[in-house]
Amino acid sequence: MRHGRRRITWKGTALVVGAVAAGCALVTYVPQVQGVDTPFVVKGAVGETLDLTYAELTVTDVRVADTVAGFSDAAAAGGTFVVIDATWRATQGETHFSGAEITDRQGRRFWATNAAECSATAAAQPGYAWRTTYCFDVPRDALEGATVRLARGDDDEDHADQRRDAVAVVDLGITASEADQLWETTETVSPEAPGYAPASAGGSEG
Amino acid sequence: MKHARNDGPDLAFRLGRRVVTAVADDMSTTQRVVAGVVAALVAVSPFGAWNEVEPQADPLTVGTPVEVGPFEVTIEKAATADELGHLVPAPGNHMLAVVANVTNTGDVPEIAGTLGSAVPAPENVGIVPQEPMGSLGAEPGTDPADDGATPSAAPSASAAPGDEGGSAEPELPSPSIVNIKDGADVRILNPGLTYRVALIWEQSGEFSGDVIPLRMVELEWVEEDPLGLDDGHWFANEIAFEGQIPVEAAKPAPSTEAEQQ
Repeated sequence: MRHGRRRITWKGTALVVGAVAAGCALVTYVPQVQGVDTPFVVKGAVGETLDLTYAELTVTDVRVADTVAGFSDAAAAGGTFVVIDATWRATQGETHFSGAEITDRQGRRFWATNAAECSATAAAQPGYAWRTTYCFDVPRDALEGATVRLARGDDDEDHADQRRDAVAVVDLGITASEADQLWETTETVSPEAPGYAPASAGGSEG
Repeated sequence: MKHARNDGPDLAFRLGRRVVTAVADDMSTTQRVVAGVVAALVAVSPFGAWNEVEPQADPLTVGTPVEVGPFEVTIEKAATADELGHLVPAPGNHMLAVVANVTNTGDVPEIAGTLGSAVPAPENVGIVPQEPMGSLGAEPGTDPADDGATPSAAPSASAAPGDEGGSAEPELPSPSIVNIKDGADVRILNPGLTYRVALIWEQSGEFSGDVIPLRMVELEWVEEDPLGLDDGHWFANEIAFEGQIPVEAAKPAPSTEAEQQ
């Protein structure tokens, strides 16, 4: 049996340094965070029902308005309101849908107002279709090519609450010529208060 | 031949050199460097080297747009009113409103609180301080005119009477931000849109000045919070703009634009 100090060899040292360098390179250059953090985007169009695993979503109608008028208050747009009617059907359990934003072609993001019966969030029990209306105040150049992003995760600065989760991105189908027409619209829309959706909107009235 | 000269400065120089030589002779190089630095620091002290640096704020005037963080703000006017929409002052007080056009120049929406943090309440004009958290159940303040102005602050022509200053400075509130177009509270400011808003504070009825000192704070984007608690937010930094804003006379309960139509 041998006793005494072990010698530090060049070979052993090179092995350790090489292993550390390889580990650093893996952590630095392999995009592992990006791979697991991005949400699962389900794309669709107005009128199409999208399966987000935790819910089914249908954007049923898109309108524009200068003013949205509720039961007790009204909101006037700085630009124009894009009013989006949507129906949520939770499939797994009671679900809170916190994310609602419009994205334009420039990548700018717009959040919904909760004034005048418009909703910025929604919540639904499973088995029922829940109708809600989102109202987004946007400038003229945001209309063409705009999409709406709806999800259960919050739409904060970096979409942190939507990581590794399904989100719906619905093309609003607004072309350049339509955008000009829609901008000239001086309409007042009275959104319905959120509630159980009628059969015509994919629900069963509860 | 001896030249005529003033011996005074020469003598002082030679004396000083002898003292320095006598002291420095026994020092190592490191000690000499440290001693030199200390001597230099002492030498600049009489010239205000240690005075707190006061950043010079740019002028803030009516009608001139300024940039603070994600906002371009153009002050339109200041006005007082007996009440503004759902904002009703305590008896004897009135509301002070600073009207401004605000554009979110960024790519993402901003909450109204971010705008509020860029426009602190004007000082020395009788803004009613907010109730301290610890005294919510206590007797309400007896002197609503006391906005906790510091005695050292620049005197204002509109300083409210009774501004004696207490031992503890009560904090002035953030403004209520109302969209003038519909009279509703502003919750978010979407990008690319210009909002005509009123930034509103409750003000002592004893205020009778015709200008208010308004300041705007530089907003600095914090990508990563040092404590890791609040990444990605706007931090209200130093005063970037300040100016005297004329105040229009009080009007009885003005209506919103939506009501006028």
